[in-house]
Amino acid sequence: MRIESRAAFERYFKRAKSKLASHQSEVLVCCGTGCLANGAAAVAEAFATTLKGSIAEVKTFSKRTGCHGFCERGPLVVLRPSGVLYTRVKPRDVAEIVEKTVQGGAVIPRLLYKEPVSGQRIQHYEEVPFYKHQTRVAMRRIGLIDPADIDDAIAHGAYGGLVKALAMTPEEVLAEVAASGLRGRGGAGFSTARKWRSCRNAKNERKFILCNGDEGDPGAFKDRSIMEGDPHSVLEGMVIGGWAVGAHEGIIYVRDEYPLAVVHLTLAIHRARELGLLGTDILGSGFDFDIRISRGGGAFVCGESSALMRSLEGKVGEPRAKYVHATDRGLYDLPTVLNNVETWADVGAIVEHGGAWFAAMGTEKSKGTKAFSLVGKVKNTGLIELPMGMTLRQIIYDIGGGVIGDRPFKAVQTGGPSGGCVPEALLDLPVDYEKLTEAGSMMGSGGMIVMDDRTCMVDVARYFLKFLTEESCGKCVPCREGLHQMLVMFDDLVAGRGKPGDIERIERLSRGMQLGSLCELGKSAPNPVISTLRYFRDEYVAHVERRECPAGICRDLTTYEIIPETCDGCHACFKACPVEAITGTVKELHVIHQEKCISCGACYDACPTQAIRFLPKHEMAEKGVA
Amino acid sequence: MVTMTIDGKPVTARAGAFLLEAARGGGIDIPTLCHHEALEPYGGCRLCLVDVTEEGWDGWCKMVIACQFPVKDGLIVFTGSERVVETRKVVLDLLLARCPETPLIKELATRYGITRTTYRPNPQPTDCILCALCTRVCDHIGVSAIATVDRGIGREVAPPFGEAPPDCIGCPTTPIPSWPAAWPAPRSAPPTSSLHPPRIPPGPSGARHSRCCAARPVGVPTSPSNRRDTSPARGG
Repeated sequence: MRIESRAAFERYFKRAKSKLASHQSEVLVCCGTGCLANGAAAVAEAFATTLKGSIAEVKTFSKRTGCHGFCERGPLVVLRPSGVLYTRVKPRDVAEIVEKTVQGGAVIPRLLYKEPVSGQRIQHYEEVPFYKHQTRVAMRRIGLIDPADIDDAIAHGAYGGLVKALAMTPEEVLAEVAASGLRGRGGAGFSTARKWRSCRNAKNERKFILCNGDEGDPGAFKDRSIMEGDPHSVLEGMVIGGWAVGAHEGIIYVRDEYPLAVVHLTLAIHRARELGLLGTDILGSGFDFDIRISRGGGAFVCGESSALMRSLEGKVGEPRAKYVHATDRGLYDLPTVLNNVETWADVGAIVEHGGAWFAAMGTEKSKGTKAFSLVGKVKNTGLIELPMGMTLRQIIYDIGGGVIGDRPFKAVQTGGPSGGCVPEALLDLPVDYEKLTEAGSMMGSGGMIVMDDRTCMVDVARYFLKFLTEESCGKCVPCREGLHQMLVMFDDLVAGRGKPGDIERIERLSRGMQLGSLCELGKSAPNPVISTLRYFRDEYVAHVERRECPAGICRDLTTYEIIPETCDGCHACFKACPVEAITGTVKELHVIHQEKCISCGACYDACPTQAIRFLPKHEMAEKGVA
Repeated sequence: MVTMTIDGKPVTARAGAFLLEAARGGGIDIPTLCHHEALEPYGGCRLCLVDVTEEGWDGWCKMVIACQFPVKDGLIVFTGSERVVETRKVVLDLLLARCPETPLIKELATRYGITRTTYRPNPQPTDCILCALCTRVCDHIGVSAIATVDRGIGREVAPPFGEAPPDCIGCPTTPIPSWPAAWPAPRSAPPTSSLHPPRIPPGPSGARHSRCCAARPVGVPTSPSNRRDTSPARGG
């Protein structure tokens, strides 16, 4: 049933909205990949079965939605309109929820979010700190809608921006995007309006709109959540982009490792085509635009724009020099606009509410909002969207709830393998493109990995180097050979084989890779190395000069011992040790046997009285202890 | 025609040319390994990196590869700036670690003051620098029998599935340095199509060598610039 005109769409929207309103209440069950892995499908099924045939069925509607973001506490259930949030919901809780909360209007305290410091139970979604501080633009509908139901999406505003855009001229749409100050959300932060403008200026009948859904940074999952949870926001943005630059073909390149995103996007495209929101003569405007999906080649480097285009052409995903921009010659050497998933998701909202609305949020040069995946040693792991300019401290403590176990904060790694570590001294840094770059890191796609004192910064750099050595396409010498040799040097450092001059060799190779590599993978690969050297050089020096790991993490350099005066024989370390290296009876002093100890630190983490300490292996050897 | 300044010297070039051609045409040499004038620029070896700037950039420079950078009127180029030379040294140092026994690489590295690599030498030395000249020739004027496979440090030139390539016609691109001795010799039907390059007469030892390999090029020289930088002194 095609919607033939903008006026017809308005009527369709009103009908969808009133259908939604006819359900007096809703049970929103998070079925993002994280909660699904935690058993959310069974919870959703239980709600569907329990509500069916119950008194509540007439008025209450249960929905499987996309990612709510608070992944740490899943499976998550939100009830509307009350806004009650239940965490860690199991299928066996469902009957009680339907009876007590849906029908009875009372809350179940044990399922409510518990504030860690005060111990208080918080009832409403909007009052939970994790959600309270968020401003959701790209993720505006995620968690509210069933991504497989286009009517639900439309009732919540999907395609409202497209309707408006088709009533404007392409120049007017470009002006709104320019006014918004939107910058690419994939990492580079290039002006979206500038990119669209140069594609619009390119003279060719055939142009392409591409969506980069290859999200490859370890620890990043914002694009996955958007593609899974609100695929229509991406489709809408792409059609608007096509209208603005004069393109009629869109392709979404989704990494092959996101099967649910592929399913939801495919479904969304079919539904949109059925309604005539994709295809020929969209809403009677005379504008044709269609979208297809291409699954990724299985490589991080395929997220690089020129490599992505080669991969789309059926070739091996390898980048090329970009002295001629893709907006002039990109896919098949035709003018192409490639933008990230989140960027496309922002576009519809910008056209609907106006560029000035978006630009009113954020900082001077970084307008609007940004999605972040907050992970690592943080209490509230999950996906959030905030206005640019919030400080790292606010993000990690107010929203993130602070460091797990209240251990000392050490650093936060932002920007994935191309980014860097920001230390405690810079916690009050407002998060935006410029500030993070000045600090030696970068925004990247929005990954934030929180690190505590039990993190070795040399090991962190090595982790990213290992990732990149496996992902380098291998075309150019500095990246292929350079990453390999960097990893060789770092393997030596963490094993205590560092030699004088190693740090200087690492710095020289870093410069060579930054200046010499063909693409940003190689050019930015040294960033984690350079930023950890900048703020934590003493750790490198300790590894090289003294064969010590100050954080007590590198196993070849570290061992553990029990402090006799403090040990109370609680036996926790004995139980934690995976190799039976600890002996001792309950209430007696325990002992770690060095010849069996593998330096994993499990005993250290398990000891409740801090009776275990770590020390350099050579120090232990000097003590003459076996 | 466009006019540029390269190392302080005015150089003219045809519009649409790349910087490398323009520089060499003006008598200024820039080292290369993966370049061949019959092929599209590859951008893999990075030796031809140069610093470029323009009026109005306030002296700010960017590093680009000359083989693929389009000439532009008013461009100011430095082929030997400190960071360009330093980066070339890093590249050669890395290549020397990869190919510690290859005469050409040792010679090039020595020219830049590097006699020993500062990195870990390849425990299985090879001559192959992955310049991809052989695979690119095989693609463009051959039968696409070989390609570069795998990524990162594991990258290598290989036939499909590591088996003797059924399409190989035994043209003078083979044998290539990384061709394992264990693979059966390719079919050696003489090339009959006019597309295929003429046979190279065998060298003194009777063996036929590739002329499409940067690390071991011999036989009929292609362009003077290639010969100058990459061919060891050998019959032309």
